[in-house]
Amino acid sequence: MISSIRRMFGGFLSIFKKRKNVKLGIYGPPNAGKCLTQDTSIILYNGEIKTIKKLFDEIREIKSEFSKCDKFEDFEETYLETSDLGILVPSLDPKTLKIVPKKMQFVYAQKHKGQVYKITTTSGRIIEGTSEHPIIRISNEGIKRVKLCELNKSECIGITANLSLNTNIILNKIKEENYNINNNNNIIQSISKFHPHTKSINIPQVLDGDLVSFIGYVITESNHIENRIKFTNSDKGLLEHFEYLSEKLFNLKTIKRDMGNNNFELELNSKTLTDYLTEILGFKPNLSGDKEIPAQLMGLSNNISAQLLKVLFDAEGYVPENAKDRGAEIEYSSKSKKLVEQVQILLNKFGIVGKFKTKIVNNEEYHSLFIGGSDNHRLFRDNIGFTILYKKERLNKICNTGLKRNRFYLPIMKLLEKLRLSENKLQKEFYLDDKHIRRMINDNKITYHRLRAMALKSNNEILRSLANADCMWDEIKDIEIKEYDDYVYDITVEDNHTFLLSNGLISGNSTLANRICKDWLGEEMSSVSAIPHETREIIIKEKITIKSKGKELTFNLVDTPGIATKIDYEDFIRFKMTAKDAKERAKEATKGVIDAIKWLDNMDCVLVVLDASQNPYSQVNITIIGNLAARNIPVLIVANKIDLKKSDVKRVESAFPQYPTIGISAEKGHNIENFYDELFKIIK
Amino acid sequence: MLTLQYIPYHEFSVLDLDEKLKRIIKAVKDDKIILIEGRLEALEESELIKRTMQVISNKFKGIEIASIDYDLKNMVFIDKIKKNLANFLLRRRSGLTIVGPASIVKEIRKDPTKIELLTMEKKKSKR
Repeated sequence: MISSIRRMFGGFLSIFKKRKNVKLGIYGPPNAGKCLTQDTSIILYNGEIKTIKKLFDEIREIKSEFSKCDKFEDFEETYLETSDLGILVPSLDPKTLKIVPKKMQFVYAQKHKGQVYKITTTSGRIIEGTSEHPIIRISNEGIKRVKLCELNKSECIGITANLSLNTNIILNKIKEENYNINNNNNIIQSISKFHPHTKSINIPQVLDGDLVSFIGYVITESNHIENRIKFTNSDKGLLEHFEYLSEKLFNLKTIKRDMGNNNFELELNSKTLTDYLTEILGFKPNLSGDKEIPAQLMGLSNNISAQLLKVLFDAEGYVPENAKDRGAEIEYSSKSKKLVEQVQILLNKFGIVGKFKTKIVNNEEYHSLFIGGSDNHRLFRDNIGFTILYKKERLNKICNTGLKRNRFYLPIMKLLEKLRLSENKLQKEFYLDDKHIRRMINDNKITYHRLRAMALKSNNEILRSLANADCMWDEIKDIEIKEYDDYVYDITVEDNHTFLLSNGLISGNSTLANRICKDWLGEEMSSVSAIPHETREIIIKEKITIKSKGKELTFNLVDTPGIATKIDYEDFIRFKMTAKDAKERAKEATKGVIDAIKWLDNMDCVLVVLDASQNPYSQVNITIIGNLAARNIPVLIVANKIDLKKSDVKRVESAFPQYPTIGISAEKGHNIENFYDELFKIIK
Repeated sequence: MLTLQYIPYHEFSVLDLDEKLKRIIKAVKDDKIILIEGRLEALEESELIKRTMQVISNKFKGIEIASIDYDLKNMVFIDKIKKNLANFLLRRRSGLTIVGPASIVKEIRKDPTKIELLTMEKKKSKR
């Protein structure tokens, strides 16, 4: 009962008048956010992979207003609007389960001293963030956004299965002042003080399969430095291909050296070439631990992407010799974690999903991607394949063994059973055979192989969308709670409110609505805990700044407990509290209500938050609004939860016709811009 | 047994705020539902909530309160004038306020012109 009052009247909030001299927008208290740790890397739709910290810092640089600010380290928390920058990120639509490009609307940073959750899945994917950070989980209840702190071992969270990024095949223009260029614009020579005799090279005009293959060789097996590229391998075919591409693309001849043990080195001694590759693709010389695929190569056609993958796996891929080995897996390893993650993203174009592992060799960390399961192996063979003969043969063997190593499954057997019963089908009919069904139900696991086969023969929308989804579900292997003391970051993505980490995990995001409405309007409190009177003290948040449509507003915020006319300690006992604790809590709650009423005298402006799906004619609402009217305090009535079918903003408007009313959904972020407009109007 | 106590306007309006609140709280603590002729002022209502909170205990769980008045919006112009004139002359005599103990009154449902008072179901007696 009390909780319904609490929800109905989520608390009223005061906004003090503007303060000056605040240079950076700050809102919400530290630790209130839903953020990821700074090393978390995310994927942008243009193929770039960046740590969330780097992304924030770059956007901060772009936003000129920040150049006027003090050092960023002086601030507790801030956000930047990015809608105007047109940054797209791949984002999972939770309804259709398809990954589509969506605009990034905000980036956030805040200091966080306290615990963070590190979630590790069986496929070696890791997400690390604050307890409140949302993520997508599948269970017998369906697909839900949950907080990191709500996850348990053995539950399954979303990872990327199919992903197509979009980059163009036009190469970046070279800086003409850096080169001598011939009349036909197809031969260039670097101008350099220190290397006066640089060689001329031919330059390719488009990003085609040959150029991509060449880049692939340089990434994997090359010593790539400022003025030289050395390719070393033992395979005759690969050496010849590298030689051929060097001559065809750039008219450069390689110098061949015998390195012993059947290894040969091909050297391209050309500063012009390394300069040129840096300029057209941002492909810089890197040490092996920092090697990466240029962003522009991450979103090319399937055909060209397959050529790149083929080169990478030919050079650095491994296929086990013994095909009967149940754990037969194709492996790709590198010292560069980013490169391994990029390889997985490219494999996602073909629906291939692998497992990440890290191992230490001679005190150095190596990262590997293992592709297991016959389905994946066949996808690899049919779409990518190998040039090297022995690898090709081994791949064929492991494809033909028919061994299914099911790493991924869906924990939804109860859901499927309900579906089967609603369709009135026998198990044999629904699951296509009746083998293992009892075990599947006991283990609550169904494999993708079976689900996809079922979906092919069914018209059921749920089955089809799960089977054809751009995401898969990965079991949580470990949950670690760590101490953290640094900045944490997050972004907001329009509509879907999801984005992808570089390791493929699908993350939920903060919304401005979450940040402002939930923090301010008490919504988050009620979702953190269903226990009534969670807020029992006045919370003052200082120097909150909001920016909208070029306007800026800074104020202090007073978040008050919800006002009620009755408090029953037995309500708390129902939430498994001891009688002693419940009585103590009831006592605190009564004090909170008294304080909230006393604070009415100190308010400059009040947002009265009502649940638009409930009857607004509650006496508490009327009493508070009547009090505010008697004190001549400006009021904005916020009719929340307009996303619910039962909601009726007009009913709220007609209950309090003398005050401006704005309908919003704090949960979904609907109509927040108009909410700000109204807020700006009443706090003049 | 449910006890209803009616307080007429002339009896209630002469009391000062403190006396009004004491009277209401005493009645509800005695498990009575009171009907007051006329409406409480908003400031009186918020004071009543504060006082209620001060006396909440393990036995007394609080109050349910609702007041009802004519809906001016739906009135024709002449009726509005009549109503305002009556209010002016009779000092908010119109309307009705209901206050009851939360242990007995489960909920008071109201729309602008109608009140429904729902009482708690009887608890099963313990053996």
